[in-house]
Amino acid sequence: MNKGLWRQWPLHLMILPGLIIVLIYSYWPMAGIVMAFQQFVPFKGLFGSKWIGLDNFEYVFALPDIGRVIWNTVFIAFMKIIGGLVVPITIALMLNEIRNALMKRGIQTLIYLPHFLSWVILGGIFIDILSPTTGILNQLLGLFGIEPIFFLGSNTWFPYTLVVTDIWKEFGFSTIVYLAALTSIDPSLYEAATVDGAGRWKQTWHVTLPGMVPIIILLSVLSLGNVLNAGFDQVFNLYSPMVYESGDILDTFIYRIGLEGMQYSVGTAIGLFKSVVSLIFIVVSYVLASKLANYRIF
Amino acid sequence: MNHVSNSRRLFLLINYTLLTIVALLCFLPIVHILAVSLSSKGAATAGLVKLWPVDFTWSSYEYVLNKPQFLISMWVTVQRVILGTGISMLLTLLVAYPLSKEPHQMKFRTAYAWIFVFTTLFSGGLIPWYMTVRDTGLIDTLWALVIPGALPVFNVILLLNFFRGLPKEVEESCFMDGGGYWTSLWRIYAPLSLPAMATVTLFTIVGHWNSWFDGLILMNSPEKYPLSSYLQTVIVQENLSNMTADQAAAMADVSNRTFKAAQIFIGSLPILLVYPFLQRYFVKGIVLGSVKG
Amino acid sequence: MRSKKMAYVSLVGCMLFTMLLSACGGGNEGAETKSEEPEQIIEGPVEPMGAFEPAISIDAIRYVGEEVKFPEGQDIKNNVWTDLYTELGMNLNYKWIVTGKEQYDSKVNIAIASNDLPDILEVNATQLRQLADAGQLADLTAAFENYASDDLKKVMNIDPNALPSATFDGKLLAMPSTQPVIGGSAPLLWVRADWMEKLNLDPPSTIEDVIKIAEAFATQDPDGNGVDDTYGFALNKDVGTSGFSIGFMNGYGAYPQIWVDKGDGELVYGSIQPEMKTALASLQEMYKNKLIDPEFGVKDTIKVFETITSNKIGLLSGPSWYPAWPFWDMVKEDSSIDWVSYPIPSQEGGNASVQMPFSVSHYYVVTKGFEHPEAIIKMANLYYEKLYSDNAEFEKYGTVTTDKDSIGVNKYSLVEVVNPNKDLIRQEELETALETKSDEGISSAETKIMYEEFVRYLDGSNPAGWSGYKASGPDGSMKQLRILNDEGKVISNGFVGAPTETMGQRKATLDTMEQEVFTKIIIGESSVDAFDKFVEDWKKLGGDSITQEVNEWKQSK
Repeated sequence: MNKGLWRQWPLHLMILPGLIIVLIYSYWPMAGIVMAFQQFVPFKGLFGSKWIGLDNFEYVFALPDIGRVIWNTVFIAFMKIIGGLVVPITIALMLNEIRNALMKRGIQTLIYLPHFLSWVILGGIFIDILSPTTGILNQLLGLFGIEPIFFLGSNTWFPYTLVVTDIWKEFGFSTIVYLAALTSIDPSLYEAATVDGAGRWKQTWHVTLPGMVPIIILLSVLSLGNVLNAGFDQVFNLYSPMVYESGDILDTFIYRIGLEGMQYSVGTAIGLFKSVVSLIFIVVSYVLASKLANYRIF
Repeated sequence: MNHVSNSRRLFLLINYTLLTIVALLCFLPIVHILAVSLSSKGAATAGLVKLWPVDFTWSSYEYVLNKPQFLISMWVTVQRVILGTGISMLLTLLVAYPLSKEPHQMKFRTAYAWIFVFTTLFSGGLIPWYMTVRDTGLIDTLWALVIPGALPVFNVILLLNFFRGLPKEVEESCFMDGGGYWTSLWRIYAPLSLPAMATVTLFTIVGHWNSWFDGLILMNSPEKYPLSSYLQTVIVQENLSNMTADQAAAMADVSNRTFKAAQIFIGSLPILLVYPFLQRYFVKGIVLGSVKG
Repeated sequence: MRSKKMAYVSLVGCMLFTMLLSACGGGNEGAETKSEEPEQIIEGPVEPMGAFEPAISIDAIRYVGEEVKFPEGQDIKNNVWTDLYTELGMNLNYKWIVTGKEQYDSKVNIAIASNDLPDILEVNATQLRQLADAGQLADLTAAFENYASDDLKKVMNIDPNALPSATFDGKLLAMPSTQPVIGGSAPLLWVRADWMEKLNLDPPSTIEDVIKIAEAFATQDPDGNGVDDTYGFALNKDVGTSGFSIGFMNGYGAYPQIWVDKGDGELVYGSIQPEMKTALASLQEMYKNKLIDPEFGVKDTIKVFETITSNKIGLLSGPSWYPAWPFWDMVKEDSSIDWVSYPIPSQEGGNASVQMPFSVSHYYVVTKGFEHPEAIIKMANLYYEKLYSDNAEFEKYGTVTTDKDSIGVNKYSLVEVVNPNKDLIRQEELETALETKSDEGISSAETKIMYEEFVRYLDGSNPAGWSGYKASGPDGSMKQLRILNDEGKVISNGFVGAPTETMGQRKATLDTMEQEVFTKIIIGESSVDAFDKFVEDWKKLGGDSITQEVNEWKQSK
């Protein structure tokens, strides 16, 4: 046993620098979480401020619009999670079928471009593109006899607009991960499948997809941690009072409350709430993955 | 082998077409921004510019390239990306490798893993984080943009999963030859997982390139802003209520869409070139090919 | 096995946590001890503009607007103003500088929360209240009394609420930064004069007439391009908070978002008064008749400006400075375009009373423990002295004109106090000067420069003078505001200062509701009667307590 530990020490040494960084810059500041249970007043500091137990949580969850805000948050985030998994996997598989290296690289490069445009920039562009009167998208739909749709101003369409534009912006980037995963599939498996007479479809189904399963499980579990992150930057730059009903999310809601005063405690309380929910999702899916698929994520 | 069935042809046709459409959809906004940046202010504000410049002019590029702040910020970003990616990649490797071991190979492995994962879920908020960075003396230095976020846990998890996918036999043969964990990490794991390393490197570079909030908060003067922080101050509209006529006239100048577009475009150009460069590491089958050889 | 490990993890977590608790507890003890207020000792005669002997060093922070430019060789740390401060023994040392007001606000919030304050800083009303409540501010009462120049005292008293809004328990804790808000915010009606002429329309005398003009602009193709692509009246997504809608509502006697005196001394909230219902009904009708851009609900001010400059809208309500932006962008390109302003007409005819915000939106404070709180007063004295007094050196400290462009160097001053009526005075003096053809009656160098620009504009050698002339010329928008102001028809928010307790808790929710209901009424998604339900909800959800707090605040004054 001792000998085992002695043999292990390089591993512990390797991990040390990273551990120190997170201890200092992640765990140390976590002391700030106590603000969630306080009426934090600057200058009195973390331990001079008044303790008020769960009042901050009660305050937020008693606000008149909180029900619809939580519903919007979960609905939008959940759809983004699903779409954010399905689309990149599909695109990665489609790209995998392309033999022309130049074209493959070209497409890979182009689809990751939107990731570099921030929502502040895209907000203005989307208002133009999605305009029901002058927008190019509605003009295209008009060719098929579809009445103009006010994507950013209609409560029916707004959440879906958020989901689609978000997937559009980010799918190219997550596709890269799946493409990297594809490279680690053993080519001999394909050779064996060909020998067995498996066609393209069968190869994809029996070799490629199973090869991607670990990375798919990993990214699914990690993305479940985002059930309450519906994307502040995006919503903030695209929403308006017209679509508060369907598009106001927890983060934008808290942001507006915070504008009136510096309500650190309320913000921290909501942050903590989101963290706890994420933790539960991650832990549950971690346990499920290891119990059902016998796969350890991290 | 040479025989390609009709259904396969049809599939390829559809596949190519769909992917081309998708790629174009992603490409057009950049083209639009480029077109706006090369148009006259009047045409741009009247919304006449779609995908081709109207009243072509270079004036916005002259404006941007004569703006010292833009170039200064670009330089800060370059420094940040190089230093930050170097440090981050080193730490990521050093953490991902031990964590890819089984619990019997490394005591407390799962506990370590949760310690890292926990940081992605919980945070103490902006103020305590700021105070920590301040108290460790990093404020107003390049290190403030590099050290506090030096360990992107998502990348660690990604890399450790790739490491785990490597065949165990290779490492064992390394140990047989008298090599230790360090040798195994540098000689076996790092080179064998090039596609994964390229992915993680790309994520790190892009993360540094895009992050703007830390620059604004941790730097004490605009000359030290990285490019994305600077762009943020350019793009975000100031409150337009209650101005004087002089201010309004000055705002009319800076709110010029073509100037903004030019800065956005030049600002993203370098990073757009990174990915194509890294793509050559995405070579299929590199792993087993080298093992067998 | 696994559960054991989880237990271990949580144990580590707990240990870390206790470690942190004890460590942080220790670190914060210092914050509790309060430094004693230094005694105000005044030796010898006090000079408002006297130099410090020996020189003092002052820590400060500031923001620089993205639009601010510098002459060759100057920057924000070394310029005419910092030189001036140095001459007077005040060595400014900026702890940090940030671009943009919005970024500045968030950095100040962080500085306050992390107890990282300089000697002198600019704060907003909320931040002022917070610092005052925490006892972090130096008392400026004596310093102001002893050091403020006569000019400064006069300016500070023009808005009777300015100093009181910075006074807590009888102590002056901040220097208000007064701003000319009439010219900056009070709404007027702006109309494309060339379109009116083309369609043979008369100037509006009631708000009904305004709607008629809107109708004509929307339906009769005023730009003559043969396409039905124009709208009647501009509106943006911030219904009730942006000038586009405020001016129109003022026409109906509705005053959104401010507290108005009902006549009996009691303050009521403008957005819930019956006049608002009428205004909304009218906007709903206009929207239904396609006089308003169907997409107004997603457009911000800049987007609306773009609709205006692309000749789609020729009628809107907005502040006096619109000629400078966005109108000049159009006129510069096409001189046949002309804009003209009218006071907002009321329902019955005659001019409606219009609203403007409080003249103070930010303050300068000195943190407790700084030995020379009078420094801030001296800086304010200097600002006024060098720019607006009889000894002003405007060409050096105000606007520097080079062969390339003119640069507003007054922006480098750390402190800015402006006569709230500056725009009105300037217009009056310019009008007289143009009549008498002499600038003798002009009191400030800034206005003299403007007079010369006007003269050159009128003889045709300075077409860019158009926007200034439209605003401050003899028939300009400022003239109209001056008349309104003399008639007492420019009203300000009856409640000034930091948000009350219930406002802090509820205002965001109430504002959300207000904007949502108003927007839905206008686009016809809700009927006009939804307004009554809104008023009821508003009162129930905290509005009643806010009204009570606001009136208590008023009583206490």
